Amino acid sequence: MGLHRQTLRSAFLALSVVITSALLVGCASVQIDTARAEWQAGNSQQAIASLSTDKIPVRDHLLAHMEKGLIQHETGDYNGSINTLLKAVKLLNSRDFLSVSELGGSLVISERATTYKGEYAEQLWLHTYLMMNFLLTEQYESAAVEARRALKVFDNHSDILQHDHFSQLLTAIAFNSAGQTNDAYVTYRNLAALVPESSAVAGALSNIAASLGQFSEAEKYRKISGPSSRNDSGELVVFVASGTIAQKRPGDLFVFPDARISFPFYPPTFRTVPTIAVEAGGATRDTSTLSTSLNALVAESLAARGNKLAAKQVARLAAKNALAESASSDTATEILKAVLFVLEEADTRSWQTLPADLTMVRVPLPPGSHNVILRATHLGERDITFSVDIQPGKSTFRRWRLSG
Amino acid sequence: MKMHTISVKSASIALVVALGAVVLSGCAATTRDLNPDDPIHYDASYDFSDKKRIVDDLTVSLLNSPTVPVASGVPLLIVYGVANQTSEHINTGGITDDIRLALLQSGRYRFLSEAQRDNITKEVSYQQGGAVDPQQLITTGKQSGADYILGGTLRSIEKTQPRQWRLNKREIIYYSLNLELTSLTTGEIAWADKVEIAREASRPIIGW
Repeated sequence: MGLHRQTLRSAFLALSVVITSALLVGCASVQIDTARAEWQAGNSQQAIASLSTDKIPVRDHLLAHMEKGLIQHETGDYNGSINTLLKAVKLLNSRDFLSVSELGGSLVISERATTYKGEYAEQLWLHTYLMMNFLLTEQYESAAVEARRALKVFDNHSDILQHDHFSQLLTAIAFNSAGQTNDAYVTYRNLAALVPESSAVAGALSNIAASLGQFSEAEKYRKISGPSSRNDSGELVVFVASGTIAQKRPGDLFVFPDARISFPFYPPTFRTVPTIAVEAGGATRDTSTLSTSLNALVAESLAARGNKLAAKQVARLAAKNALAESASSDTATEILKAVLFVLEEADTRSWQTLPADLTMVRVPLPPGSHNVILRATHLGERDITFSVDIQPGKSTFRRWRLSG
Repeated sequence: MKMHTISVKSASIALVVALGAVVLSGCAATTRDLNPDDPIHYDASYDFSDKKRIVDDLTVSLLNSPTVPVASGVPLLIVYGVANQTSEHINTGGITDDIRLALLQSGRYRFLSEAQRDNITKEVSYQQGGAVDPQQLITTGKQSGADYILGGTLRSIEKTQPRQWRLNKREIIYYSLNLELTSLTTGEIAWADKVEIAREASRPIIGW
């Protein structure tokens, strides 16, 4: 009778743990998923309202800020996006430590019980989107501040993030737009070492090298970029975002029939970056482009954390096993094992409103007003028309999001 | 035996109550006034104590400088701001506003308002629109011209301790603010000075 009561107590305890854990882990995702669905359905304002952090647990606030900041960017609310993404950066910096309380929870429940800190690439893209927002609102000095912050993230994870050519080029452009020519020159040179044949890099690097009196260097990059545009010409820079980033999937590894490790992974993706043609004043214009696959980078970022994740998963498996074995009876042990088996869940949280690719399109144009048509050849031809005022020697910024 | 059990139980309750009281008192909201003259830093980044030190040092330097010619009277300055070349979003307008205030109050310098130029143009245009008494119209073409431009650059260099086994993460930040006064007549830099601030901060790698 005593044994039966003990077993019931263990079962009740286990059930409580399951329900509490499910509530703790599940609620956040529902709210954020709702917002994503609303955004995809075209209800941006509803999505932004759904991402209010008072409805979302603290551990998912970073994710909520990321999604909200990007939706605000896409709707043209660049200052709103700046405020939201700066909150995300502040939150990320304030959580830059190992939390003992969360470590305990994650060892018994799952990684989803911890505060989301973003993949390395996602941490960089907070600064990438802030730079774009500041450039689009002509706050060049603030764009350069974000460029410096981006460089810190690059330095910390250079092995992966060096492949993000878009963000590096944006960093150089931000420095140059703020008149911080030396920083722009160094950033362009580092990027030119990675993509030596890119005319989107070589042309600007040649101009900056010449302005700094580095004439042999200017000539070297002039040969790559082709003939120089007129000294008094300006430039249209368009940030083209296309597609939607891949989502993390849950995978399972059965160590024993009653014990498993769940882990997140990115399935392989195959995409073609859209080709962008530009017309201004009725004539097709020369362009130079540079693209980054966000799908590839985010998968590399996750893979780079692979060893840490594996070590933690092994520790969790051992902790769960020890917890189950400490139960008062075999029945209780089996019940606990079953509960902990169910609780094991891969942490598939990620910034899902991001595009699959980012492309920088640079178009030299003479000063003055221009009616511009951008044409994308990807999953059928699409275009967008806008007018733009080009200032001599300056860059003017626009953005375009392509779905599909 | 029973007596012993009761005393252990009472001690446990007392301990729980004491711990609860400590936790609750730690969570209570508090406010207090600070003396802005006392340097206070919560971390290595730029704060109001740094701004105060920069303003105080550069104001004293400029007021004590014999290099700014004053033969033609009190020099007239225009502020073109301090460029922020740090990795923090710092409103450097606060620095130049405070320096301008201190210099104005000293009586050694006069200032033109660059920020109000558009408003002045708007107001003058309104006055000339016919609604204002002609006797009270502002005379145009009488604005003063600046003798000097006051401007500068705030820079920072940051260094974080490399990854290794440790309990604290250390960070060093160096700030320098260079300020200069450029003559509009000759283009010459009549005065320049700088303030440097270097600070190390550490924070635990493990937390609650």
